[in-house]
Amino acid sequence: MNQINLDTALLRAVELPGRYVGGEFNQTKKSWQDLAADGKRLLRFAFCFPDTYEIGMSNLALRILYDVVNREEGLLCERVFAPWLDMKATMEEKDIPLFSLENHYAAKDFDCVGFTLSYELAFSPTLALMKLAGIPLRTSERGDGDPIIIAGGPATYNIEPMADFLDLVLIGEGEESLPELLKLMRQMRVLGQAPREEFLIEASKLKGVYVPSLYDISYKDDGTIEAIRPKHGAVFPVKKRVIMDLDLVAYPIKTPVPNIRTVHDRAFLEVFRGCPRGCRFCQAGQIYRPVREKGANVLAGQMEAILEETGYDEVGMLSLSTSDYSQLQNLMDRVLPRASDRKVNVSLPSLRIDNFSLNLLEEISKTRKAGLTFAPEAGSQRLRDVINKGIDEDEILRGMGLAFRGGYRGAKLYFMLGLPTETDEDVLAISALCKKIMDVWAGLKAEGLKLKRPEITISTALFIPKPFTPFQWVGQSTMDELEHKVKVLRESLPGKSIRYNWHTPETSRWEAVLARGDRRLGRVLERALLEHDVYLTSWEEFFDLSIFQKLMDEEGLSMAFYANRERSIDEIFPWDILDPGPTKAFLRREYDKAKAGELTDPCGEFCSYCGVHSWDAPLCVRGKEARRAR
Amino acid sequence: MWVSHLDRMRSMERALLRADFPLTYSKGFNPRPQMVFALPSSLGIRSESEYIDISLSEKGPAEHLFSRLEVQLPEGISLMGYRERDPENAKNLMGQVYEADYVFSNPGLSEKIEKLLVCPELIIEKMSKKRLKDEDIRPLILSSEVLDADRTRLRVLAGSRANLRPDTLLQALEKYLAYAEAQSVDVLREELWIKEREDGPLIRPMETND
Ligand code: SF4
Repeated sequence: MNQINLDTALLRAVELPGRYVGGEFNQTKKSWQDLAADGKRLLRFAFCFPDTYEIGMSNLALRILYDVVNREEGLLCERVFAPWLDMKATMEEKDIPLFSLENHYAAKDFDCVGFTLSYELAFSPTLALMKLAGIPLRTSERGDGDPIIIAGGPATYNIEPMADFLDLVLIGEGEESLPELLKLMRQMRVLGQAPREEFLIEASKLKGVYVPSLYDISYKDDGTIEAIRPKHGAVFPVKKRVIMDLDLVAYPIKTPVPNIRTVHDRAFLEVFRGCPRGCRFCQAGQIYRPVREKGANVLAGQMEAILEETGYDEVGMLSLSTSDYSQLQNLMDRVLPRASDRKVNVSLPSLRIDNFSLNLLEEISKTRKAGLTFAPEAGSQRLRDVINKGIDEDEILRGMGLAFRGGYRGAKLYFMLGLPTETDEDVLAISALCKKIMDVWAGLKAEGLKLKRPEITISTALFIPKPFTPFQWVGQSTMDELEHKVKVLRESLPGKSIRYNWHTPETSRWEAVLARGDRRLGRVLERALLEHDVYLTSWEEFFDLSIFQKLMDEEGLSMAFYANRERSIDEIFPWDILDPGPTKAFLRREYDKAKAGELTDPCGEFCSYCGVHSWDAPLCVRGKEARRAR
Repeated sequence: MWVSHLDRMRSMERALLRADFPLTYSKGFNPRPQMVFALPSSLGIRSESEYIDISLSEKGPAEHLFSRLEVQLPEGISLMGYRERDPENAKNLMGQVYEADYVFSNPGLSEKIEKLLVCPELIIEKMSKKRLKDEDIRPLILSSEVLDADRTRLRVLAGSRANLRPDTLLQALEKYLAYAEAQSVDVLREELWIKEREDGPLIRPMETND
């Protein structure tokens, strides 16, 4: 077996060699030679994160899946990360193939390589890593000596642009399905000699497994999909996997503690999955339904154990909307005294800006007033209603008033431009909102409060319509429209107390193309790699839209067709192969309500019968028994 | 070996927390465990002489702490020994470091180093305060001892007064002898030498009797 030797001179020459050597406390290092109880070797799984070590090690899915796979005695899991550009160049020059962190085994020697795809811009790096590993890119080109290539993660809810490159995709939450799949693989491919095709057909019978090659897609003359035809009895649509009771499922306690600084260098506690809010632009809010909370006592116990096993001095509470956790006060009462004993910081992202949250922030950061961050997403109330962002202007202004009184200098506000139905008036409302926030500050100052000069930062991003959201039918703003909106906003912003950041929209445009793309885009991704060596598209500084533009033209494809086109109601979508829960009828209802500016109540007290109600999650049951949502 | 000094400090802090040491903390916004490395070592060298001064909030049997910490260390770090110091008299270990021994090894290296040391000056460009500056590192090298054809031990100045970074010696090998393998040279920091008083004798850190 190919164990890569990274010599001293090579490591001295690269930036942050700590990225490549592993050896962290709590890493699991099983050997290639280990045997399971049945006397046969382990199944070798490489968990590949298509970005740098620092980003990958900050990923909750990696921590969870690394843990669940290695818990199984018949399975071995090692981590693989994307080398930084300097290392990649050296590897290419010296013919060093992509390798794993723990034992420096060549990625291509594993039985299975799995990519976690957090978003669409991870597609190109994934292909680049396959090439660096020496693995044939296309499913059809791989033989029995090559690993089975799988993927999972949020970006797999429309994985069609990658369909020709992936043998198999795990849809939904992976802590049960991944070990199941790998055990089947061991049975068939390590203990037995099943050929790839036979294994893939068998695997497609597992719940939550999508094998793209088992579906034929045909297109109409206008470029839209004519039909999706499953083969070999493959299920259609493929339903996502979900864990119903998070308290009962294993959670990673002994996670590898990085030796070098990572982006989120802390312990994670996952408070709940799903989100009760139902913001209409948000894909996570739809695809992770239903809401499943963890018990406060379970979380408190896990926090204690993780801190003991890792020595972290910070713990992040993760969820899509922390303020909506029904046991938040209870959890904090248990967690904060222990945290302060241990001098551990608690970070609470995704809070709403209300009295309760501000008090909480006050409690967890007694000395430091770190910045406040919140996301009104749209400037006008009308547009906030369109996107079902359940926050009104009074709440924002009241919240900012409380924040100023509490000693905060200001806040970072996030908005989206290009939301459906947006007009210049809505854009101008962003600056009007900023002015009102400044008025709040001036009012308090006039009351005689001692206040520092306020600092308000606003950021805008280009809205990306995503599959399985009520806005999956709408077109994205064109570059020209966006430029106009940015100009309108910039010129209307009052003076110096307000900073305005906006990111180049090129990556958002490409993300929009891929997000609702189909299999024909695979050729573009492949050529971008082979002809232009496109690599870390997730890093803005390396992103070049013109390459993709040129390749799209050459392939007879149009970016506007994918990004800017409004879809008709009965169009068959590439992602119709999958079923994450919410039905098309529900999403359509939500889209109609959006256009009418009507709100939908959050899940909990109410239920909108989105399609997952038959799964009987505790929260959905409560909602159904109460009454139908507005 | 492949992490920076700051990163190493952080991983030691975490190891100490896992071992449940009764640490004392600095004051201020962001309290840190009070823990001092005698001499930061640079990235890419091996070391057998990392000394860390840790202040504890309570007195207790040190061998317990030692054995607790042993099992909490990341791969590649092991404990060699410990010594209790009296907080009343203990001086800052960092300020006491004067010299260090490094062993450089690579096939046929000793002859190269001999040649290098004949040079009256070794000017190396160094980053200091974000600007490149020329520095003569020859005076920082006190003596050399050839162990065999491949290995040479150098005694050099170390610590806050004057300090030779071993990577600058590798640079000198490249610059003055056009030695292509300089970056493959294995560097081991073998020992540090401290003085308890400015006019006192050089001793090993474990020998101090404060
Ligand atoms: S079934 Fe009802 S309560 Fe459950 S996620 Fe759907 S809308 Fe919300």
